[in-house]
Amino acid sequence: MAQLIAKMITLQFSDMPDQRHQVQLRTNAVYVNGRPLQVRKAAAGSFTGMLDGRTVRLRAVAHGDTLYVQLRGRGVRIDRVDPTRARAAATPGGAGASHAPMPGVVISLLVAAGQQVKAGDDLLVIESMKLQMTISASLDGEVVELPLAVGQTFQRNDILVRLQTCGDTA
Amino acid sequence: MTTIRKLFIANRAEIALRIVHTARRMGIATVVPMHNQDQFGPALTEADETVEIFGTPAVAAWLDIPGLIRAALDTGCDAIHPGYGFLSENATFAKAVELAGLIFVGPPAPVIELMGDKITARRFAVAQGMPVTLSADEAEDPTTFEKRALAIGFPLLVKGAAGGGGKGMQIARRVEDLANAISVARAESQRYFGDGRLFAERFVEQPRHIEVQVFGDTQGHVIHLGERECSIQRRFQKLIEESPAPKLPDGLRNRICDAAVKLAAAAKYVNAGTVECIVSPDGEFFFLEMNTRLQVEHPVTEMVTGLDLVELQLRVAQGEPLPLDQGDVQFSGHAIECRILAEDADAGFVPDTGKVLLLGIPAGPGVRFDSGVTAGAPVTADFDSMLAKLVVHGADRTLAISRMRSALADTTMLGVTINNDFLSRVLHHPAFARGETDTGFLERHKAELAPAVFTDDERQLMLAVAASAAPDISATRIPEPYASMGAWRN
Amino acid sequence: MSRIVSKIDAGSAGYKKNQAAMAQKVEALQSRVHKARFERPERDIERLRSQKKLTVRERLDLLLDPGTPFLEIGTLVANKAYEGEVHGAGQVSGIGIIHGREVIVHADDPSIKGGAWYPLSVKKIVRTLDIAIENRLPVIHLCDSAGGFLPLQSELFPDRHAAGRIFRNQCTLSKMGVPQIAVVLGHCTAGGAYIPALCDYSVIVRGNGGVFLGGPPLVKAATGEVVTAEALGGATMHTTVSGTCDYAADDEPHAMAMARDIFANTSPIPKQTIDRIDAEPPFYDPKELYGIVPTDWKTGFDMREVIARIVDGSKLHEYQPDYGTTMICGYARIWGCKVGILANNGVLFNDSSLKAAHFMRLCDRDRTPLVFLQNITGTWWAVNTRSEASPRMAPR
Repeated sequence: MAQLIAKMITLQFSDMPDQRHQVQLRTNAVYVNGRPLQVRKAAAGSFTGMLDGRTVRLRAVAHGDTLYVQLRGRGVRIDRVDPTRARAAATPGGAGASHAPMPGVVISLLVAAGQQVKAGDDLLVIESMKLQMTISASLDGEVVELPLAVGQTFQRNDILVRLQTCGDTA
Repeated sequence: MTTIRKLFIANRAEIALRIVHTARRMGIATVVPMHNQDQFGPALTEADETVEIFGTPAVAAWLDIPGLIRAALDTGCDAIHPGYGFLSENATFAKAVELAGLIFVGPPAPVIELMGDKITARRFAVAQGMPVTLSADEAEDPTTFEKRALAIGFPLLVKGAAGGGGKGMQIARRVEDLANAISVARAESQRYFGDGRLFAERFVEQPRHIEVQVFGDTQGHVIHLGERECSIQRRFQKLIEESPAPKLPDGLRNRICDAAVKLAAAAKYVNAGTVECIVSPDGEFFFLEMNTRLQVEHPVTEMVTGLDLVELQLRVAQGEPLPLDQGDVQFSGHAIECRILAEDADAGFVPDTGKVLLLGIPAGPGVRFDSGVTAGAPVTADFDSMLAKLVVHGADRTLAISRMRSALADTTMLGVTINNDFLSRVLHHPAFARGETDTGFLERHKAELAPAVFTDDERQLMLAVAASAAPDISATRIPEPYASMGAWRN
Repeated sequence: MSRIVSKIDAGSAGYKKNQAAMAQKVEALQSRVHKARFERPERDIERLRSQKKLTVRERLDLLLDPGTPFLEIGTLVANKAYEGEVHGAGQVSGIGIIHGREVIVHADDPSIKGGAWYPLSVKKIVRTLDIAIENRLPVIHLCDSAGGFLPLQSELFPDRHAAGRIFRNQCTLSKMGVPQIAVVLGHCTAGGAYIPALCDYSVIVRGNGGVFLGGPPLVKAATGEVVTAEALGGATMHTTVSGTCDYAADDEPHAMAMARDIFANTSPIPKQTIDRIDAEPPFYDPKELYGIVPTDWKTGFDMREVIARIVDGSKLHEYQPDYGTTMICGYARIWGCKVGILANNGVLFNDSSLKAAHFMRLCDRDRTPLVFLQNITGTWWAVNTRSEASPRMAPR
């Protein structure tokens, strides 16, 4: 007769990606990094807990490996991590890739593939929800790829431009 | 007088829903269009009918004049309400609607044209004795524009003449900044409004943005329904609006409202409109522009006057006279509106996308929540980032602020970053409580409005709740007797 | 089985006296154990932190299933040896649970003399692996040792059951099909390098872990080559070039997670089933043991009172209750597991020895585990009418 004691999950805050937290759901309490806390589920997505001796309400919802939690009106994003995965996963694209800071559309391309650029040179202009931004080169080098065309839309973190320093083997 | 029996609402999200509610109350059937990439609007399930409109990208469908008119005719509507944004201030659209034999719920096309162009509007205002700030119009003489702009003095606001809604505007504070401000403003105006003509005017430091809600009918009556303060802005876009404007001397309030009515009457204004002004710290006011449509923040006026502005719009559109005189308008208490936007306010107001996985609507005495989303709605870059409007009324400003704070904390839209906590910090700021509102508020108090750091206890509790909400966590099956022994140590 | 009926009077003066005395002894023991487990000089802990290392107990917390028991072995090894400075001989060994399966852990304690191996450390490691062999327990080695304690190195290797036995035991476990996983958290130099090499799987931590027969100083002395520990035997080299180690981890929590994941992918060892039912606490409070056992060892007491406070429900099925009464034999359950209990209840006579021997044979036939409760003051050599001479009884 096997008895379930602990469900374990490793979590990290999206704004503190260097720290991992071990959380265990046991029958009597929820243990966060070894410390027991009382959490009660009130209704779908609603929970209560204790802070400074007072009951507080929290809301939470899961979407795949992402968990959204709200405490006193403030929302945070918590990601579930696979503890066997390396912490510092190399950013796809390497140091020479510029990632979109927000979703939007490409307004204009100021350089072309193959062009030599210097750090700080303007590369392309993007726009999203009334906000225009110019993406500039993060290093001296050559434009390897401009994956998006003028008018094309993109999501947050999509690669906007790929550069490589001269002499790299990409 | 023509009774509207069926109304086509050429809009989406929360304004479409809001119009549906009033129309239903008045016994008017409603049709709300739908685009296949925007199927989660709450109005779609509450309208009597929906009809599909087409366009790529999605926003193009809402700017497709023939497409929208055809949809309205196909569904047997007799009137079109344009909402705000999109084609609401497009004179061509208004004309086309009339030509198609439909009633346009808004002012006549010539009035839209007059007030839609910043420059003609300004000239008209000046002619009516409305004070305006020093300005330079590029169209008068493009070659001397920059020189004339320089002559106005700094700080200077450069904006698109055909623009509005905060787009295509740049502030230049020094001579060196002017050339860049001109080129950026021109590029933005060209892109948003298809018109790169510019306009420069003196920028009043720490101005208060005060606007007056006016209403006209076809019989020439024009009244005002009080003023709104909309000074809490970021990137020239309003975040918090309230009515009445705090700490506005009665004399000044009356002069602004009277001037607004006079302007509207002179323009033979019909239906709802808003005269926007800036008020300097010295108590001078200047005409900014007139918006010939219902505004986003109209609910604050509704809450202090007890009137339904959409109902008034529909009655006036039917040709009825305004059901009340200026003297009948009563103001009671204080109302505040907060715009709930899908953006990370603490990371420079960067827009966010995602999906509304969990929706929590605040409720309580004096609380009104105009939602533009339903649970499960995707939030994309296709449309405006405003997901809802939270409007609160109280007997006085203090009570309204207090109610708004609670309501903001109860507002939940998990799955996308929203600005409710940022707005709450503004509402908690002592300067806001003192009514020291001007358009520089957010910039000036930026450091104090930074979010508090979460305590370790708070973080731990959030982790515990996150784990509790996570499905399918790998479970470790511990056999007996170890399961019963627990964390035993010798 | 029937419940033992206790005759103890918790209010009596004798009871109270015993309790006070025992409590004191226990406290002294626990304080000694606590010191051995947790008291470390501040600078040793700081050195660990600066190397981004966890303490051995923190490593165990991450390795073992949370909320499960850990039976530590040899906590007080080297209690007074080596001037009392090498607690537990710089090793932590014990049986714990990972993914619901029993494992035995051998962990170097880097907070004690850098985890250096003293002669008693070697003895403890050999004992740990002996237990692993006897019980077919998978082994997790948490390697982090400065190497042999050189001043005593002449006592480390020679002899049948010294350091060489570690590697022989590892080979025996391998032959038996019992998995071994090494987590290289520090340096494994010289003899220590064999441990990960003889394991089925090994994880090595970048920056800290190193496996080499001779370290950089030795290499330089031997060949003149100057090389860093990382390049010579670090994570990248061993996981990409030599293949000596199987998995590279970024830090210790990562390494523990990987060790758990590797273990989850090993197949369970077929083990003997134990006759087990749901556990039940003793009917009588175990805390009363303090008041039952007298401090003066010459004073007698009924061992049944002790048994009553150990076994489930205080229930005992006594074998041959009327014969050889100075040895109690019987079946009981502890944590639900059926056991055969042999408990001295006076001096050992011929008949009690005979009874014990017979009972042990019965248990052996059923594969019932034995529990000995020892409290012997002596053996009574008595003349008896039977033909068997009494000395032959005692060895029974």
